[in-house]
Amino acid sequence: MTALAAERLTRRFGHGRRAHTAVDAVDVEFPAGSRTGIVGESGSGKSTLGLMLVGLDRPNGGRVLVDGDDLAPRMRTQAGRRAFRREVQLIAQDTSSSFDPLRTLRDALRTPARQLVGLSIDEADARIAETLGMLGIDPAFADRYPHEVSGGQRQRFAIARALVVRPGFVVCDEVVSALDVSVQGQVLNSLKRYCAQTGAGLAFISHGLPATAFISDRLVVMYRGVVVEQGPTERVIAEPEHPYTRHLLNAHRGPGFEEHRAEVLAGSEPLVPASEPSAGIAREVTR
Amino acid sequence: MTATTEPTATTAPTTTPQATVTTKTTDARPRRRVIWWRLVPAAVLAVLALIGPFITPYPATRVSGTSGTAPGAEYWFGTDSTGLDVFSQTLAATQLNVFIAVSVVLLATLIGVVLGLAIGMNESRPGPGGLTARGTGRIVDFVQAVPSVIVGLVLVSFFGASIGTIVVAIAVILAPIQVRLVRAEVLRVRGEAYLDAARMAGTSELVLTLRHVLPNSVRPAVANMSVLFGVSVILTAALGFLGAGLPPPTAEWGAMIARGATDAAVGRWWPGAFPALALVLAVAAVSLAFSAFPRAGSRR
Amino acid sequence: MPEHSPTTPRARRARRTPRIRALAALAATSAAALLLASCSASSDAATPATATVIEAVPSLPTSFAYDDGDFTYAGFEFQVNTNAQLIRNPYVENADGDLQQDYFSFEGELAESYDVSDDGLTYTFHLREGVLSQAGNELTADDVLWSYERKWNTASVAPLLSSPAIVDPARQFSKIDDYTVQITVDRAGDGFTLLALLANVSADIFDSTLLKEHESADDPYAVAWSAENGNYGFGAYMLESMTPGEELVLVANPNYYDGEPEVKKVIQRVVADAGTRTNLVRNDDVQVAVQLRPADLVELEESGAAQTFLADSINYSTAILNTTSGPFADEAVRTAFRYAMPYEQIIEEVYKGRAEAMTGFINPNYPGGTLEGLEPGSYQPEKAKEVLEAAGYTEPVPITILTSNGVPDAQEVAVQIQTYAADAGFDVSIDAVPVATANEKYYSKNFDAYIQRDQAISQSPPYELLLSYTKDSPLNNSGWTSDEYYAAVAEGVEAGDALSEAAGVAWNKAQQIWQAASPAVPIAFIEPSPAFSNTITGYANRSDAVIDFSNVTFVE
Repeated sequence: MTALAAERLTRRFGHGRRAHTAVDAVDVEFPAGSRTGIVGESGSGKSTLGLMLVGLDRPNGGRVLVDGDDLAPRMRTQAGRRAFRREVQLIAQDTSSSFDPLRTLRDALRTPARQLVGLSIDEADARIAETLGMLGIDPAFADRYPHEVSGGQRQRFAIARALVVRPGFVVCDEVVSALDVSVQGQVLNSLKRYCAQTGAGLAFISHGLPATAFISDRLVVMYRGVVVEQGPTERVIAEPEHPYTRHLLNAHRGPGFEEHRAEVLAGSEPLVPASEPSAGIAREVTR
Repeated sequence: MTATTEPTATTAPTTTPQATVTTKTTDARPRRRVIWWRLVPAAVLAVLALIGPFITPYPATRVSGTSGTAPGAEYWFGTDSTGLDVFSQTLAATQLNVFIAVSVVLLATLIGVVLGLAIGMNESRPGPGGLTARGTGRIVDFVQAVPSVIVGLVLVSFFGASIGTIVVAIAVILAPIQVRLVRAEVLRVRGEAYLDAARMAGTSELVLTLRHVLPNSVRPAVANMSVLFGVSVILTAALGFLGAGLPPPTAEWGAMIARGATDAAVGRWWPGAFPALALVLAVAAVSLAFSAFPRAGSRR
Repeated sequence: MPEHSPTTPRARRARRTPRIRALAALAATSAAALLLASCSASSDAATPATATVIEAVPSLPTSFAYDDGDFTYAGFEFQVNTNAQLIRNPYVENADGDLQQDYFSFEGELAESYDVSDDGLTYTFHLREGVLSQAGNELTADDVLWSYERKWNTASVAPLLSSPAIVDPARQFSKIDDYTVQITVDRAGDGFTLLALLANVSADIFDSTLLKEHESADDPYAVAWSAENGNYGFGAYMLESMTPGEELVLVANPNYYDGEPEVKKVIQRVVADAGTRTNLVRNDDVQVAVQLRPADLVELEESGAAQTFLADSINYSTAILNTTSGPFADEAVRTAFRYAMPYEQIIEEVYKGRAEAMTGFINPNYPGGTLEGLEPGSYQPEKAKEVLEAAGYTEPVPITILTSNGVPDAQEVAVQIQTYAADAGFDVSIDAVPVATANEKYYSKNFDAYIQRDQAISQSPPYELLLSYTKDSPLNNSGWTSDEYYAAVAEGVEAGDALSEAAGVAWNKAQQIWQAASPAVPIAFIEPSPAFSNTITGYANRSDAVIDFSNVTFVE
């Protein structure tokens, strides 16, 4: 069980007049055991925020707190990094290069098990079998190569790779966005179950509102690097305070959001995200 | 609708439609097949390289007949302008040419991998590391820009014309090509997601480079080895042409082709044609052998 | 190389085939290229205008002045055709029906005639009157004296070659009047050598009026100017133009004392490959091709496609041995090597019979000369081994044969020696190098044996005997010296008439001393290597081996 926090986290790309602020002094707390969804459209900075939370990118300003302590000093040593990564893992969106094409999936899963947890090969394989079982994957597939399984299978292996070390906090970045709707449901349930079983915390980054709302008990809405609204999921959806949030919800609203959400999860097409918000909302959001 | 499948090993495959993969076998484990017959010509070449000098019908470096004899029953490939049997020479030269070419290609590729990796991983870093990497890249470009034969001549004239010097000289000439291929792949691989995944798994940068970047970056350079094999034989001949090659009458295809060119002009085609044919066949055999192995990420 | 592997089998098959197809194309192209090369080479020669001869040569002169030091075939051919001497050797028909120089008599060239004093010490040359140079200046005795003054006061090699017959032109040459020059020698026996020198390229007579106009402080005798410009003499041809590495054009000199030659224009084209030169003359795309390979000459002759020639050639193939260091410092090893040389095999295999066995190393036809007591070259491997054993060598003697890429057939000769000398107690390696490297090693005595094509352009016995063996001479690359030898040569000179029998005895004695020491192992006299197309005639074999175009005429 690990708690994370972003304290005035900032990330800038480029310099001078060409500088682009991807994440602008963001303050978010991820209490231990909580499940927080981070939504926003492309370019909102949510993925960059996710990378900083897991130490794959360094902020230009602000800091990441792990159980209240600054992350930065821990990242300076191999031992510190490994200890951190045993606790906090990232699952990224599946691409054809999510896994090393020259190595089997089992190999990819063994690596964190052995390097971060110090398991022997047999122990690692046992842990892998356990994890795959948790996720509903036939362990026989583990001896295949990444290109020999489907995208959906591969995404689940990516999740397995993160969960094999039994982290106390998992950051998911668009992990269901490319999946078929029926598979989405299974994956979300696996994650939910893992968190329930281990008390791990979750940060679920996505541009798809239904899935995020399903899995999260808190929502954070980002627009152009800024957090425009955050709060309990039910409240944010029922009573959005910020115009952008309302705009986002409008795009997803159908006959009744709960029912629609259920249909989405049952297998009909996911809704397309909103178009560009109106200029008025954009002005309100810009600081 | 939100009922999740029970996570048992036996039921999962039947309830997850995406689990099935179109393979030709019913095994869960797919096979990676080597096409064995494609290795046969290269195996023949290797055997000839090993035993060639010992099974020649005539001595390869001693005058055995009247010079300029056409191919016939007594001298299968005829004799050259010095009276040496062309068949014996061509066969015996297999050992030297294959040895030089193999050594050159391995050495050039080794240099290519080491330098390509070092440059590709470091060139966009700020500070002295990046500077060194970019500087090394420029030196490699320079070596490639100098006409290859000049580089070879300078090295051989400095250190003398021996097999070792020739191997090193030609490897130096060809290494920049491999460096370039490896570096280009390294730049691509650097952006791949599995590197971040490896970092998430606690892998250090150095181990990451060797375990993940290196194997994924060498394929074009390895595939290029078959081309470099033929090029190195030609460069060996070029050095011989210019007096920087091995002493005559050492059996070596390139020198034979060079000597045979003048004969071909007056209609005596055999002293040059047979070593040229041997060269082409050797290159083809090596190239075919490379294609026998399945490529990573391929269906086979 | 394809980056991604497509996952459909059809795409994979489609990609495999192009690679094998590409290799098949490469093989086919190579075979086609070789076959095409073996068909007769096409030339880009334009149809020659009337009275033009095109010559295919391996290279062009690097300088137009002998005094500047271009001692290549190309350099000599330029000098012989654009310059003239006081006298020359006449052309006579030999036993094979071809023309060659008669080395034992002289006829007038720029000099109409010459007299010899009774004591044989004074030679008086009567110059032709009214002879104009290429630049239009009249030939006088001043030109003769000035020419020799230039040879002796510049870096010219003429003084080295001319000694001891000519040692001090200031003393030995005198102008009697505008058309009469007197030259003295210190010993009557040097007289024949004097004439031989005066008949050849080191004795070119220059247009002193023209050259004096181009003197400068750095170049007091206009050597550099003449090296770059040519046309400063009295020869049958003049330089019209040169494109380095490609072509040189000579045109007939209207002022030539003997009248303009029949061939009005000579175009020398650079064709580096000997086989291609053969094809060109075979097809009459060129009329003259020089330095052809023996096998090709034989084929031309047998097919009648072009003319080849035989002569009492004085150009010979030889192995020079380094007597100062290395394995050949031991006379026994040199003697053994003399018996380990496969003379017949080289004559047959390398020269296809176009060579003659040698006894001794000087012209065997000198009147008064004798070959008594000299062993003809013969391959006796057992005897070689005996000699080595007697001298204490139990293992094969390792020797390295140096060959230059610029010496024709040198590598082929070396390979023959390597094979046959192995049965005679020698372990031979071959060091084949480019011309510059070979010269450097040869002149610095950094070799064991060197395959050379040698010739004495001035044909006179004492000259031939001393040319390569004078103590401290830069031409003495074997490093052999022998006071006994020099004494025998001096004895011959003392006899007065170099072509007398008395002198012949002394020359023979010298050669016997030489053979016992074997500082070189001469292999065979080589028949001439040019070929003429069937449209011209007039080849004459010369001691310098070049083509005298003033003697060439067209077949009607």
